[in-house]
Amino acid sequence: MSALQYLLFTRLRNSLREFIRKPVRLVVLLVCVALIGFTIFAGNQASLEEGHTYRSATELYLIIAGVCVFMFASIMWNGVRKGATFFTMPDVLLLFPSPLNPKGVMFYGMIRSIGMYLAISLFYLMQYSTVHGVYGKGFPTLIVAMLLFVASTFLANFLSFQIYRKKIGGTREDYYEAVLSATEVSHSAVVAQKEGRTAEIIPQNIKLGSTGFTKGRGASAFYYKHKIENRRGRKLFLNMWSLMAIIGSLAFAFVITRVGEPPEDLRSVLVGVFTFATYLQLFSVAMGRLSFELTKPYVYLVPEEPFFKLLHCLREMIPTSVIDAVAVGAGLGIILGLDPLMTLLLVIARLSFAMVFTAANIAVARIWGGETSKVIVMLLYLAVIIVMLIPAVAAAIIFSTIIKLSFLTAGQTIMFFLAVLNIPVSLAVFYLCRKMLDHAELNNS
Amino acid sequence: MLKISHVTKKYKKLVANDDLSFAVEPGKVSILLGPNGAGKSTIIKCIAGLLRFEGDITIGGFANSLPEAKALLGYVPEMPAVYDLLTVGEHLEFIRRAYKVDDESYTDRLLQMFEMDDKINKLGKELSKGMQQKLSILCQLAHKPKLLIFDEPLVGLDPHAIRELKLLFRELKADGVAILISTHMLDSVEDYWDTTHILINGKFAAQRSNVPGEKESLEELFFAITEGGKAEKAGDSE
Repeated sequence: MSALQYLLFTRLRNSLREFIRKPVRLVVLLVCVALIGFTIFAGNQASLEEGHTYRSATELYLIIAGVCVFMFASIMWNGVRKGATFFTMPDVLLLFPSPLNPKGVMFYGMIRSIGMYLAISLFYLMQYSTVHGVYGKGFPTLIVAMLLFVASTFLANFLSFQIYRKKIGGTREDYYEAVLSATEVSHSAVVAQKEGRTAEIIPQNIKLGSTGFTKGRGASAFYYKHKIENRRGRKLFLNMWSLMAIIGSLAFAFVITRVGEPPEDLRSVLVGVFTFATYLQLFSVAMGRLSFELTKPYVYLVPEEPFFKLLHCLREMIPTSVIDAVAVGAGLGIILGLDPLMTLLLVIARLSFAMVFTAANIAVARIWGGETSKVIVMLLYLAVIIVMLIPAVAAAIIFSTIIKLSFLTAGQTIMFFLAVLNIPVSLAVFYLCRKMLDHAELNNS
Repeated sequence: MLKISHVTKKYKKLVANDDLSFAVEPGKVSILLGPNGAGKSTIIKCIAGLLRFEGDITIGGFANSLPEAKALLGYVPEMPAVYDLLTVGEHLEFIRRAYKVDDESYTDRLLQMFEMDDKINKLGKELSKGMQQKLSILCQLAHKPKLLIFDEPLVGLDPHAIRELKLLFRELKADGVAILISTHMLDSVEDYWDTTHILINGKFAAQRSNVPGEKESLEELFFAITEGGKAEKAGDSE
């Protein structure tokens, strides 16, 4: 076995062993398998129902193509500017100076890269329920979608590296410099992740602007600090993920109501469209600057009540959440032809889910603050959301049977009560986590 | 000023700190010594309230999680804690505002001492590692804490900053500040340590006081205990 083959298989074997050595990872793996199993079952059950009709497959193909185009464009955009790499820092430091064949080293990097994207693409399997139940498609479509995902991500990496390389020169030394420079960028992100830090994407050229604080004393100093940081980081109100979630939600609503066979009453798809928008919102709501604060000592050290510090750290997210809610509410209102009252209800519902997702993020940080694996944190976050929504969903269904609101359909009534009940549930979680900053687990050494 | 009673910290099965007890009095410099992985940074993070632990830690008589205790504490971590998007001046203003300190003259003096006064409008991300370490130190000195904890404070500093920091240790000691330092650079603290605690595998292998006229250096003491090169001298060992 050659050195590179040995390295490839040993790393693969060791990463698989990690699942057995770390019980949390094994549990996560089992949960994922169970979720895939459930989604297959649910998808098949849905399609067995009498009179079940499928939506146009064109929609599905558009979504698959959209994901590929988005991945390709974002990797290319980053790769061409900062460089893309197939290698980790130990690869560069150990393999590049070694007498191994450079083509073999390149091939090794590409195989690893494809393997990584293939592993990520397994999440497509969780979409079986939608693909089968809604569009009447099965595994062949999902497998094609997975392969397209792998191909587009890999190709984007490969092409952006070639363009970046040409940009800085063409000699062998230039090639090594390009790889080293790109690897350093990705290495610092990997190190940040291992240390539990979230690497912030900072503009290369920062405009300093005015310096100094305008206000802030005690815990509120964090809020005014965040205002300065957001200005310099060019994060005015909406970050890229929020913006994408808004555009995605409105585009979905538009496609559902205008492409293929549009529904007679546009409002009939409101619950489905809002559910999809909330699904995207789930990934766009985070803890804002609090996630960076949690990785630095100051937020723990400043001698203020922990709850005040927490609230002031979350304060910068209020305008973001309001703008997001108004954009989605008003956008859907226009696309679906809703009256002002329903539009207002949508805005409130969107805000209430922002509260739920923020509270879930806080709860995960409070309970599993020492966990550094992004995948595990994401699954814990989803689990907390499910736990938080169970009482609200149950109560919403009960309330909707007791109290009838004439201007809402049955589904909309449940949605309305759920939105209202989300608020006390979120506030309860915030209250339970009020001493989070007194129970830190900042293990980033 | 600092009292640690029966502190244990476990990372799953690994016991990083095993039933540690010690104290640092006002105006005294205490040194934490030990090989890599002995648990020095862990006990320091427990004191600073950055890790959960079993046992009791008090600062000035207050539990370390209380704001009253935090107001007395300054903690300089091993890795510089700097915000990328704040300038040097804004870091110090942030600390003054967060700790409700109105007097700017002390931070101005610190900036001059550490030759950072010409970098006041530099962003955290634009600073070199050594500069970031200096700024990290200044941030923790700015509110004049009564207990200062340093985790490897000299790593990355230039000779001028090392000299200034050593002078500052003496000045703070004379002002009655309790200082706890974790370091591998034994000669850097040789002249002014009062007590030392040698950690091995999460436990104290020895605790000593600096007796005037004692000929054994900190380095000799460290190797005698960690490598068994010499028999332990009579003293106030555990």
